[in-house]
Amino acid sequence: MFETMPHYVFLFAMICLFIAMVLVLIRLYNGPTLYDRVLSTNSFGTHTVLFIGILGFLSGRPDFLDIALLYALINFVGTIAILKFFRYRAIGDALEKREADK
Amino acid sequence: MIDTVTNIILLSMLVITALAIVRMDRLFAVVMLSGVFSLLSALLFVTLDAVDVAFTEAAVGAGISTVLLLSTIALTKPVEKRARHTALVPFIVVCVTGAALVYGTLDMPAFGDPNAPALTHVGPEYLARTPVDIDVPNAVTAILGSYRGFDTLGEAAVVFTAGIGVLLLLSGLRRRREDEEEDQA
Amino acid sequence: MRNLDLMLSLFRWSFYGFMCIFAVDVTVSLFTAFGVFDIIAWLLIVFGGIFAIIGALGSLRFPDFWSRLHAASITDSGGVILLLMGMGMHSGWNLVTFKLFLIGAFLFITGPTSTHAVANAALVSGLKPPRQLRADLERDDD
Repeated sequence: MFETMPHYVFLFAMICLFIAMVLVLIRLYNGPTLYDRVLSTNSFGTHTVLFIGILGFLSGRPDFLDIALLYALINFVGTIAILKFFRYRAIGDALEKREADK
Repeated sequence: MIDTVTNIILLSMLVITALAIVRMDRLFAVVMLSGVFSLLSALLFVTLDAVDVAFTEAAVGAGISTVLLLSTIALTKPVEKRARHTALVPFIVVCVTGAALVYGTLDMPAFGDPNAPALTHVGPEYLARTPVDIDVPNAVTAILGSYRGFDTLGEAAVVFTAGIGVLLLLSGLRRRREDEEEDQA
Repeated sequence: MRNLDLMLSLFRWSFYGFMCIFAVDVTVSLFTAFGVFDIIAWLLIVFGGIFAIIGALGSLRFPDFWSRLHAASITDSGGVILLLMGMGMHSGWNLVTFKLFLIGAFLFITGPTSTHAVANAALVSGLKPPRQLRADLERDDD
């Protein structure tokens, strides 16, 4: 039993991550505000990083963690870039809403 | 078994994301969904052991193209324009192209087939000569950096020129817009 | 005499240090022999997976953006830390553990940063928290 136990554990984690990714995708699709979508995209990226790690351990070759590291980097840079656009270029409805509040 | 199920789940998530991109009319959401799309396809590349392609897909698809699309939206409108004509002709074109591509995959060798043409002609030659010619442990790096060095140099030049062009366009447009605002004020 | 005292205390403390190292060593080898670390690693991974689902479920079901932010941070901190620690314990001491540690450190810094950036951008753009939450926050300020 103990030889196959890690296999089942990693399988369980992978199924959990799959379900979580699908849930986050649903929120990304019908998130009412823009920031919901940004948050879901960021969360999806985190799930991807974890998924690559779990996949490597499940297939017995955890050598692909470099990509997971790269994804974590890209995810952070992407989120900050998107938010910088919203913050400083003030695209679309964000600007109009702020003007309306004043 | 697990690989197959993983591939099926990832591919169905990919299809769902693509359908969501088509259905969505708010372009910011489309940009974010396309980032997720490229993350998913990079995951598929990882499950296929194509790690370098996954690297590229993540960097280009989720990183740069998201920023480029966002800057494009910043210059245009964030809402999709209503189409004036029906989508019938593009739909037929897409279906025919897709069918042709699927028909083309029928001739491809199976995944991991040792008798595939890519593995029988020059591949073994490169694998045998790389440790002798150049002392680089990764054969892909050796081919890209040495055997096909001029090609890679050309690619780098093209990408560099494209990046400089995009930067010039964006900065010029921003300055022009600021000038216009100053003129109005 | 002072030198002798110093020497003695030096010996005593190095003895304590060696005993500590010895105790840790014995405990680690015993744990490894009986598979305790494996079991801890499995528990960590299972709980990390459950945390990931909880975070995703919360970010799907919660009513407004601010509570969804809270739910997403469960995955960002709890799920990530538990899963990466579990994977590191499972692999033992090697390069993989170092990479996992790098990923963990990076996500530990950037996760809250990006969540804060999202919240800040939402607040600046005029997305207000619900009235009850604002009242609670103002009461905390007093």
